[in-house]
Amino acid sequence: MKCWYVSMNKLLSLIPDQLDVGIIVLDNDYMIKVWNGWLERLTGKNAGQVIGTRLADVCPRLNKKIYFRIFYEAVSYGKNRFCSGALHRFFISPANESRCAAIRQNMLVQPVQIGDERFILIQIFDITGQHQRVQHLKSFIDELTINHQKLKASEETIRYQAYHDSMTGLPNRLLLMDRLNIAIAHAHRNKHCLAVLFLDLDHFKYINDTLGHAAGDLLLQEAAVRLTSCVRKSDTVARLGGDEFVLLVPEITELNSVSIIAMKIINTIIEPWVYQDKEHFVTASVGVALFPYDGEEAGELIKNADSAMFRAKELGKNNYQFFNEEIYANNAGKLDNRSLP
Amino acid sequence: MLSSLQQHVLKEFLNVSIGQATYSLSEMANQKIQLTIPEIELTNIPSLSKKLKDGSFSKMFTGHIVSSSLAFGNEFNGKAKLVFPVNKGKILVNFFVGEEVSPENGYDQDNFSDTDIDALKEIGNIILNTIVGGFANLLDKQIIYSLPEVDFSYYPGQEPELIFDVGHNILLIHTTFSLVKAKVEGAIFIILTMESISNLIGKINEMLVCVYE
Repeated sequence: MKCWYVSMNKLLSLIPDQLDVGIIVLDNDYMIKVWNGWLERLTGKNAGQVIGTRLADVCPRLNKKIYFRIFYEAVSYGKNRFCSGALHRFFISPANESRCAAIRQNMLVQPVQIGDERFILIQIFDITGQHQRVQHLKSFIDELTINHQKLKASEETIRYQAYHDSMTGLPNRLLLMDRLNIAIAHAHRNKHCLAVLFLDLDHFKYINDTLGHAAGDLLLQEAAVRLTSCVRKSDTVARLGGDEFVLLVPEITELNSVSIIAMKIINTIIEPWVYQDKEHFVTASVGVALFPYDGEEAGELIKNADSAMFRAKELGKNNYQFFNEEIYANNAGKLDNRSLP
Repeated sequence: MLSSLQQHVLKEFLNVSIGQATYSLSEMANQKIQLTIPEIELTNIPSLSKKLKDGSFSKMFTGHIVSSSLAFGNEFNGKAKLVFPVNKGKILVNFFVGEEVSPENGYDQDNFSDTDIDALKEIGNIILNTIVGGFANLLDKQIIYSLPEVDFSYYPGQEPELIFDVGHNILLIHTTFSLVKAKVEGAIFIILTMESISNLIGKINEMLVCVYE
């Protein structure tokens, strides 16, 4: 029996060194009584060196008020305490101090009582791998989020580019047709009138030929800014290509207001344009088509506004023309919505 | 189940424990934290069920919850749980581990990493140890504490009987963490055996007698 007891004791004394956790046992004066093999391998300090010394001398990180309180509460009140590596990083420094930045440990503090004697059992768990996995996962998620945001931004850019003219930033033909179709449907439902103004810069080819294409591009950009300033935010100014622009003015109640916009456009384009410190003068010809009088479909309205613009050119440029002059003559004042189809 | 005077005494007493826990938590986070207990009451499982469905806690407990709990026994028996809606629990953990606190983010259980769970385990350990330890001191009882655990459950999918599986008397403590960028509301449930609750009420009554004699 005695022999069995001795061999069991021997076996039990070997176990702490085989464990894959750090084991420290302190007495109630915080002197180290047990220091297992795991800690020897981590710190390079063997049990013979540290047993009988104060924990705070061997592990400087534990020489803090917060840990003394934890040990005190364990030995005095029997309280268990779990300390996470997420909040404390680590408790026992490795021999290789360069590892300190990466290392993470959890610590479990438990009271142990044998008869009247009280001890503190401290277990140290290495969670560096787990922590790194979490960090990798987090940075992977961050990376995915950034990529997703970049993709979203590039999708938005592509969508913007698909619907806008890169030279002026104005909506292009595609977006104009979309908005015009929506405006027609809305006007149809609410018995409104809408106007399509087709604008062509007069003598644009001459500017291009004499001042160069760069000057022509700048002129187009300037024209875009000026045209945008002539209309409401709810109106659309689009560039179809070359020196052709289209303005969509929905919800017209008075035909006069279309004339006023057309005049405003002509007056704003004729303002001097400064290029290389010299003033240049450009004019515009404008054709106007009205829904529903001049067409009920987007293509038809643009085509008719284009025809009206050609008539304006034929009539000497720098003026505007309605596609159907009769409508203007008969409805110079308020449009009678009741007569709309 | 507690008179307003008893509630008052208990709240005064708990405020001392909460104060100690707040100190420890602030020290650990290296930032000032305020932990308050605006509401406290003693209830039982049927009343608690109603309270969580209709009362002031109903908003808090309408989905997934996360709890950090520890059991205690020997001369004072029960289980203590620090409970948060999952989103709030994650905001609290983020604050402690020094990650971005975004109250508008809708976190769920999947957002909790193993290290987040460890952090919540420790937060619960500090608060619950202090409160339960305070009761043990008050009653002059020896207590054996279990190790803290964190678990996720779904309320009201799971009935309170399943969530609060020990005993029938529950000390319900409404808690509010005031952090730098956010307020995190949660609750502490101290589930006690009949004997333990009798001892506690008896002690509160003794304190009341001392005050009024």
